[in-house]
Amino acid sequence: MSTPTETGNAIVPDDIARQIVLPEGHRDEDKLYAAYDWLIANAPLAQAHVEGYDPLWLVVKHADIQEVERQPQIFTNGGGENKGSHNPIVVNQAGEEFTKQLTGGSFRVLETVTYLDPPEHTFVKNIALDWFRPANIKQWEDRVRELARESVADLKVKAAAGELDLIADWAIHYPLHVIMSLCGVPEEDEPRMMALTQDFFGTADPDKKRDDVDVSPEAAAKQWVATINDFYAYFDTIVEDRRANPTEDLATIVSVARGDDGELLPKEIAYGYLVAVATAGHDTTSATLTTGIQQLLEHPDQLKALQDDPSGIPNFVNEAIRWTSPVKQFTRQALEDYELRGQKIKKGDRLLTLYQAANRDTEVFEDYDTFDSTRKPNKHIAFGYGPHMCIGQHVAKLELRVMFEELLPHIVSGEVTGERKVTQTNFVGGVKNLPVRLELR
Amino acid sequence: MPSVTYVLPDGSEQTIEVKSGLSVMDGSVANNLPGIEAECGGSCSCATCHVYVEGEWAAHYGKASEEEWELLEFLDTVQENSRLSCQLVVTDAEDGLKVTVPEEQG
Repeated sequence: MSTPTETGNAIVPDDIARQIVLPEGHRDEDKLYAAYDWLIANAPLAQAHVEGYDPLWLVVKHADIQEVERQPQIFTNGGGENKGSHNPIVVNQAGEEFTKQLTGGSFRVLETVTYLDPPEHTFVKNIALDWFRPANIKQWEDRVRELARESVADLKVKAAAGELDLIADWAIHYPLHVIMSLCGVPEEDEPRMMALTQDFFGTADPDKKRDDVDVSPEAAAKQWVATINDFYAYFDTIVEDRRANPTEDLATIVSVARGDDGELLPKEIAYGYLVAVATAGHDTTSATLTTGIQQLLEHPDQLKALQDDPSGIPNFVNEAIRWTSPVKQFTRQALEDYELRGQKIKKGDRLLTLYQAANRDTEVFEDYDTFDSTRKPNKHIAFGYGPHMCIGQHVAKLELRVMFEELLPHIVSGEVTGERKVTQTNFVGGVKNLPVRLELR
Repeated sequence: MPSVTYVLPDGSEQTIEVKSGLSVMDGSVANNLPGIEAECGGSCSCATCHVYVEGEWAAHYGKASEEEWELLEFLDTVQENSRLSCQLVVTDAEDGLKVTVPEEQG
């Protein structure tokens, strides 16, 4: 592959930089992972200069992502005191300009944790932190198991009919169904949530754009805002309802939360939570579910071992999460000069934390390119690190564990029968098509 | 507000008033007590807020969840009364709680 060119700071070779920074680069997973591996071996902290994008430090080492993410006062999501001045999700400069035009200059398009820095971040996160603790999540296990059983029954019907697209025909539904149940969104509204979450993350994929938005440089930003407005309109009904009729669900907790002054919080905070939960808890988990099944079909020995001893399922789930790493990146901005891995990060510089790369870090993972469902310890960083670490990780692990406990006893055999296709995005996603044939008992 | 006593790695004790609803970890972090690093910010995922729950309080809180135990079991300093302090919520029912912060974290 390429050789690095040095101009003071380490600069990432153009082909590697484009593979990682551009959404198009993510369509070819083999080349993408080869680019990550090249960086880890040859340029573990270097800057990408891709036309149309701000310069970006590519952070690929596991330890470096931890060092950056545990210091939100230095490496901010939202720009620190200058709130909303930094976009934590990388898009090109044209898209960022368009967002600013729409919002009047701010990147804070949602009142949710992703866009906030402490102390605001801490306050908003704490609204539902108790609800997301493992001890609380545990009480939803029976409900999740019911949903998993329904989903397995549905898969049996589809598998008996012949070849199916494992994700598009099946896996995409279960995680949304779980998270909407826990949120308290009525089942009949799920198709609408499905469409909106697809719009939310599909902004860069030509196959997934909204019909009412054309394909232009600003289209992604326009689609994003249109989708968020649709979400707000929908969730407003839910918030009003829970304020009048509180229940045990997550929607109630975020709808009735009050500030230190005892007043109800602005509704935008509840909308922000619900949008974040609906979106972050959906494509991520379905991508991991699909990829996990694919790995078991390709490693029948591991499938058999888990069928013989289901107590290995939590480890397997963790490995499937490492292997998939469905959140590809977030972006941080340095609020002061900082030296990291011998490179001089300047105040104002932006850093791309690349979780898929860090989960292949040779210093942390032995045989990192081997799918090993018995890997332990497995200190992957797929949920991020520090205060911004995924609040829903224990929900994700629970719903995946329960699904595999329910599904694996039914699998007799299966094979991948066509091409695995992935979404064209540099943010959240992964597999979007996986043709398979399954024999279920 | 409920008060919580932290026995710190140097053997000294500090008693802190922790707002009801916050965790033992929150109380330590907010008062800059040494020992509890809480690198993940309270997500039950990094094992750098390890404490020993003292006396009858251990039974009061009960056992760690599976997710929590998976993190604890890799620590050299793990004991029967080990918990991650981010998972220990303090309310008026926990007034007088005592925890010890081990020297090694993470």
